[in-house]
Amino acid sequence: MRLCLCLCASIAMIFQAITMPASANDYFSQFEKNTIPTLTLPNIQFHTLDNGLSLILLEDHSLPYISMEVSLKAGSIFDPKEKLGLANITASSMRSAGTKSLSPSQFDIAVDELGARISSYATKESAIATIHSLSSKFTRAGDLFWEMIFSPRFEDKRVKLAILQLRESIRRIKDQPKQYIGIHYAQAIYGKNSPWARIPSDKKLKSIGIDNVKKNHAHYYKPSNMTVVIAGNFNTLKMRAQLKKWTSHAVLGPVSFPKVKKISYKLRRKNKYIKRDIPQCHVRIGHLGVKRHNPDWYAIKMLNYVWGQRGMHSILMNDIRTTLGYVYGISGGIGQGTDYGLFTVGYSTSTATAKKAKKRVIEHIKKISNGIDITASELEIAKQSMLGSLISEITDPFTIVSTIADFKQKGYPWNYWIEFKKSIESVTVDDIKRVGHTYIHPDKLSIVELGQCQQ
Amino acid sequence: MANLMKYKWKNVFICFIGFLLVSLISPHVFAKKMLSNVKKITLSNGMIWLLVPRKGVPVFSGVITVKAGGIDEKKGKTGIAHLFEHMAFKGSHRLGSIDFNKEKPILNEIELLARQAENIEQYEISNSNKSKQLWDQISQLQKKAATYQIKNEFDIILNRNGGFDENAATSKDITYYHASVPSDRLTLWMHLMAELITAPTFRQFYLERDVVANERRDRMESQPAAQLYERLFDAAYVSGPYKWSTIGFMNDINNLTIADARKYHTTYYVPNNMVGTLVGEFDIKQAKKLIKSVFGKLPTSKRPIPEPMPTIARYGQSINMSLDASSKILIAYHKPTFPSKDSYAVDVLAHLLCGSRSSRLKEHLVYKKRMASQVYCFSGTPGERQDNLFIIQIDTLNSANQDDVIYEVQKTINDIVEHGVSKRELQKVQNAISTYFVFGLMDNMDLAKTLAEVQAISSDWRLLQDYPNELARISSTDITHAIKRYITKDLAITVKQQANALEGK
Repeated sequence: MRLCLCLCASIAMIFQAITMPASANDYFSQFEKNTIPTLTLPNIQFHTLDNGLSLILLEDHSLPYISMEVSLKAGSIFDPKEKLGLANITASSMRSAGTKSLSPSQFDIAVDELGARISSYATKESAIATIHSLSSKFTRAGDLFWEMIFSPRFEDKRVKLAILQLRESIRRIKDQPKQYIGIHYAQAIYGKNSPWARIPSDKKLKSIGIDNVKKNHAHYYKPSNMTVVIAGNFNTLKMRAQLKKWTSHAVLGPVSFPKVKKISYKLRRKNKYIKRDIPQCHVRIGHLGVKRHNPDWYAIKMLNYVWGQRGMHSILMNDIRTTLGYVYGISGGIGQGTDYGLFTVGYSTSTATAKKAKKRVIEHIKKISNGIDITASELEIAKQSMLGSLISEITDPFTIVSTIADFKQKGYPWNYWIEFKKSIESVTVDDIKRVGHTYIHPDKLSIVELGQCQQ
Repeated sequence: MANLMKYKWKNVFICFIGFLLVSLISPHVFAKKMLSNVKKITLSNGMIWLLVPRKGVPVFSGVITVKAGGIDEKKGKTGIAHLFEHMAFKGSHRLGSIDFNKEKPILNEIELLARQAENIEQYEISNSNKSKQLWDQISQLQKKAATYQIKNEFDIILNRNGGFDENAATSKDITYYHASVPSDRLTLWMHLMAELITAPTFRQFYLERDVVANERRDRMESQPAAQLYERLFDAAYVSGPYKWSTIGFMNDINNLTIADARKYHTTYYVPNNMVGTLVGEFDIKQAKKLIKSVFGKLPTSKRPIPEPMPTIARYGQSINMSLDASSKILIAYHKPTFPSKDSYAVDVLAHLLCGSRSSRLKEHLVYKKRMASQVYCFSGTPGERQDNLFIIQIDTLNSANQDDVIYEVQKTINDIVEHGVSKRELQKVQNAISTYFVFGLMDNMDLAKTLAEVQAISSDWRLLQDYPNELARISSTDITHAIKRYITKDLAITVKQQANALEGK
């Protein structure tokens, strides 16, 4: 195809003026502006190569730099039960175990001599490979990057080392109470064996062989399963031609995905106390959240924002931190996911205040399930703050394109910002009271605690 | 969250980044061009501003940096720099209050009663009943004062004007306050930021002290890595402010007073001790005018700003730790601070040893010997205002014998001394540094922070511009010279943490 479907998306997203409620502060109101700033998206190019590779490109010549990211559906939720960790090992040893033409250390030296950075890892749903390089070195760095993706060597010794490293990093999570409690909390809610919460055991990891890794790579790492985003100092037409060249040796064909066990919406209370000799009590409280594309999402989003995700001045921070001094940080909200997300409140407090803090947090949860206390004008200010700070997302070209790739992966239109803004604007006070009642169940809370939580 | 602070462990990281942005520098022409755009203003009261206008998205990031941090503290009053940073966000007479005339007398009374209680606690050990009564009274008064207070009004105003990334951080060397706003909110930015640093009211002081104590428990007591670093710095110095962590000792935090915070503020938050930076899209003429009118009127300090206490280094220590945590080794070496020839050489050495997958220690310990899962090098900790440390952190595998690991590290370093570094390898390091440097210039806020940090610490931001050339001049001989002088076995301070043998079985 010479010039295939090319959606030239030069759109300017204008956030029109919204009249702002009067400021309470006599002095500072004179410096405030009553409009939400204009948000303009740059010229983003979309393209699909013959081999099925989907491209999102954004030229930006302000710095002599190019970033590229390949994401594909090949995350750990697809791991077969008996080979947990496979997605992770595949992605990490693709980077560390050499390529067809270069041994592992030759590859590392080649990348380092170019001053490029190449990484590859897997998340729950995706595998992600990234390259950052000066534009002057990008062609050579890209040669290495794409050889890694389509012709990895998976040298035996290095794959075994990757397994050892994964085991070690799982063990080290214990040193990070916030991460560690997060895992135990997810397991309490989803169950230990759920694809959304499971952690591979040493035994399962040791059973992964080179053949498993090679087969897994051959199965998922195909152009039709990939989205490539590129931002930086390049010429779009030339880059497209270059990508065609880079991916010309790829094995083509569709990719099939194993069925991922569905979460059944049953709220079971499950408490866990991980005792540890530290004078602090780390806590996670909550239950199942919602699925993506739930029509109530925008009302939930506003509820989350006002209640527990608005930096220093969320309701939870204002009360539990600023007024009571119980915590350094606290956040809370109903999460969404491909399957059910988590409704979570997370904080940590001293042993002495653990009981009081927990009681207070549960009172807050009860309050929002009865209907959050907010006026229409407060809600308007909150919406405006949230939409205004959206601008922060668009300062960096690479963030813009990777956000678009993320929208795509989640099944949203590429310019989801517009829909998002409209939907947020239409949320009413009644909506956010209603969603609190519908999705928050104070009688079904699970609580996971770590540290010294009882005096 | 507002008021994030660089506790030691993270401090190491941030210093690395901080001076990486600095150390990320390369002789790249581009960098020179980028930084040739910096406009410097010196106000008559001594405050320095660095402005970098650049086109792009209509927003800008700005930072106010105060050359004051943990290094300016004294024993017994550790943590005051960071606690003050929290207090700044509590506002002024016109920020954070609905009626300051009514709030003020209550705040005065709280301060008075607290002083009485503190005196009793300090001198009359037996009379704890009386002090408890006073604290109960204070707690009632705080509730009364709260009826006049608007919590977190700084954030409220900033956010409803499309502002974001508002926060502050305290390191051993400096404290900075930052926020990004849409370009047409320049005036608001100036007035809000000035309000944070000029007229603190110390409202909610005692509650915030509890918040900071929680922060310490989150960042230090809950984090084994942070505890190892705290132990390392304690061991590496006989005395001086680099001996303790920026967040301070728990006992000190719990005893800090409003008077301490007030004294700290009047001593260090003076215009001739501050640097402002703006990077992004803004009207430069308007900015210059506003800077003069808003910050130009701040009075210069009458007394000279006190110098921090000197640090006295200790050499050749080995400490075994037995935390309930994974294995780790920290090896530290004293070295001169930036900007000295040897400090540049050690910065290159850090890249050479740990900067990438093919760097010497990573290649050797992670891939070849399989003794470690990760290796890191930090070349300017705990700070840069006094001579500091070069630190190697090795996350050792449980299967590895830690003395063997230390031996391999020393062997790797000795190998550089014996055989030198090839031109090709030095070039490789230069290339890596090039890429990171350009990357470090991309984000408005990163650039604003780095410029402010270099200006505040070294009194000349151009050292940032020169840095790439300085690094490019470092030869194999310079590196071996620095190693022989500073990075030797007998001088090292080592902290070993060995995981419980049962773990992981």
